[in-house]
Amino acid sequence: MAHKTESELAAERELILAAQRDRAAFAPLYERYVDQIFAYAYSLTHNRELAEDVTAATFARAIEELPRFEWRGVPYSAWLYRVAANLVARDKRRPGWIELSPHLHDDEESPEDAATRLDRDARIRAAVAELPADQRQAVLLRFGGDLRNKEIAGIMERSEGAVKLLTFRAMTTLRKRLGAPLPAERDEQGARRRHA
Amino acid sequence: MPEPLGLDLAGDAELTALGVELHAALQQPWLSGLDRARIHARAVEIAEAHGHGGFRRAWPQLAQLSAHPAMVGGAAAAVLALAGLVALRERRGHGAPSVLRAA
Repeated sequence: MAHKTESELAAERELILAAQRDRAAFAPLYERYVDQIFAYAYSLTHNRELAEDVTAATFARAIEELPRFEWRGVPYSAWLYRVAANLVARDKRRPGWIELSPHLHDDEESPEDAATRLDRDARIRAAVAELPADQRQAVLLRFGGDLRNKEIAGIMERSEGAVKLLTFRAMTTLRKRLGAPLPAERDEQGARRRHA
Repeated sequence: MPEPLGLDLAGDAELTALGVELHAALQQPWLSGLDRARIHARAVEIAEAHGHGGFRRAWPQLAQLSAHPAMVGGAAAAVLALAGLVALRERRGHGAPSVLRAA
């Protein structure tokens, strides 16, 4: 659940510089972020087709702005999220939420484990979908986008304190709705505490 | 242990574990390969409509999209439909459509 490290940010900067030199090098950035931007657009629009339109328009803007893009030391996704948010804000159509099935690929997982996790993931996504809009947005940007509170605050045009509060309220609600985490997550936490 | 949310959650292992679950669930892919290719194609179309050419050649995913069975199937269906139209017009004595006559 880590934010991007300095070395990861440096690598991302290199990717952007490479894409500015050669357009073909933009493909890795698209592949890295298209799912996140779609998920975010979907959380804002509640409509798959509209979310695809917003995602496409976001990356079209990314293509257009690439030569002028200036690195500011924050993940490129923060800029993409902001563009998507602005596009949705400009387009006021917001129909109801339709739950999506994730497309999963993990060959090492047993069918039983995969079924258990898929079920849990679906429950988590459904619970997130039912959060109030601002809490949902904060959770998606934090856990789906790996962004920091400061970056989320910039995208949502809220204070950092407001983002923290939204996230805390969302997590409190989600804990009540979802109950205890899966054993794997509990074990992971236990291991971390033992090694801390 | 670093505080994951920048909140005062120290000692709340359950909430931290929920964060791990949220991260895992929300980072799973939402789109299929075909979805990504379709969105990509639309992005390129929008950019080209705005006068930013060159990405169609630069992004190899478009080649994959054009080779996708659904696209190939669609092209085949279009060819069959055109052939059927030609045959129908020939039976009715209209000859081939002008676009084909020109070719």
